[in-house]
Amino acid sequence: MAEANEILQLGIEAARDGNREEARNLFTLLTKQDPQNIQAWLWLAGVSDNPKLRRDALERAIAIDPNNEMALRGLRALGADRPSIVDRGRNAIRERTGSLLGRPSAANQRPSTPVQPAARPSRPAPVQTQQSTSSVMGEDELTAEFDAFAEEYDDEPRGPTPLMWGVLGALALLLVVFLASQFFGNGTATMLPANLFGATSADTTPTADPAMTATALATMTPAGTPTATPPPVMLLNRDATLTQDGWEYGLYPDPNVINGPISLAGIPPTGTYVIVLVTVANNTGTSQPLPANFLTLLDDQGRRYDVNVERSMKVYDNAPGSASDLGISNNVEPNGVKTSIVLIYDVNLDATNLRMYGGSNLSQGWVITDKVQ
Amino acid sequence: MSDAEAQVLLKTVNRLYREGDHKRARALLEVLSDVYPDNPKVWSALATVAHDNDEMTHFLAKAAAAHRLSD
Repeated sequence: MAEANEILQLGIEAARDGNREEARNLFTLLTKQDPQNIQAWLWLAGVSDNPKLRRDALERAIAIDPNNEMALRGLRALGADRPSIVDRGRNAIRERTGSLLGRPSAANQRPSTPVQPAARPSRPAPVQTQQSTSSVMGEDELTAEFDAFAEEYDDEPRGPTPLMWGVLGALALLLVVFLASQFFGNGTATMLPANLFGATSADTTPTADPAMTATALATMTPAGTPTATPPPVMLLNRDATLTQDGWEYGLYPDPNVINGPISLAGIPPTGTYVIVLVTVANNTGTSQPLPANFLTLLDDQGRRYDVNVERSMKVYDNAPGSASDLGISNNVEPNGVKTSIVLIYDVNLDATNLRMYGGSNLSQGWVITDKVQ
Repeated sequence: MSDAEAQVLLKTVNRLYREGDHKRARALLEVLSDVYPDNPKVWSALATVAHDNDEMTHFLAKAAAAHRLSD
């Protein structure tokens, strides 16, 4: 499972970088490995250039979760007629009913088919009812419930919506949900926003594509989840740079994060070492080192990590000019030239969603890693 | 996905490894070995990122077996 998450993230990064073919291969691999991986299907739909493949992927997602808003929306945007969506849901319900009544399900007969008992996590009240009375609920009742859902769907105003409008509508919804979660502190800042926003300090226009949209809803933390710290207003793309106090700063192009059981001159970490390679440009007019506490990490648990200067210098001194242009204690010339610096942080093992911020600017930062082990 | 596409993903593994992202290179190889257990190249590649000798021996044995199957 951990591997699958790694590959999902790898695919997301490939999609974000515009490498759709690699992303398609990675998401396809994931769906081969686990046909129930709904996120992989949604992302696969997002990076598919072929409308038929996109539709197929969305229908597989619907088969797994008949109420998946993103898949329903995507199918609608593709102009899918209501019966085809409804039939998918009906089939999923029949599968569920069959298993409840002890009948062999089609999924059991055909292991490669991803249809499984329908789970309906997105409708809290009905789900509770279904689960608590599942042993006495018959196929007709479940089908009726699905029909009620279909009627709700019918009541929604729909016109001849072109694909573009559908995508833009989904984007707008996504932005509203995301911004609301940020401002009201109801959602945790996962690595997702970094994928959503290809923003730089000069350009904060979201650059999401349908794939991003699909996964955004698929991975969004449920509203109301408390966070230890208020999430940042915006998480930046890895190639974005910011400027503060005369310092321009950003992440070094990939790979810029290494974590794990690294031995630094035999000094063990308290948690684990996280190595971050950054670029800075000194526009302060004075030759000076980057202030040691300028670039800090924060995790979802609300903990702040400052650079471990001694160990950062050990890494740099081990091969000066190799790991990075300069060490954290070296003077950076005030010539505005981007210079790489290797930074070592000692991070708690349970840290999640590690983010880096510069100076006092906690409103913009970068996701460093979603977890450190 | 065909074995040819597995070959494409092996190039991704190579890129990750060259970039120093050994963790994800290995993760991708492990998923590839799940989906393509009969592909000797996947097992050979896994042997190159093995954590220890026992693991390397295991992966090489898998590669040899897969190679025999493909003959």
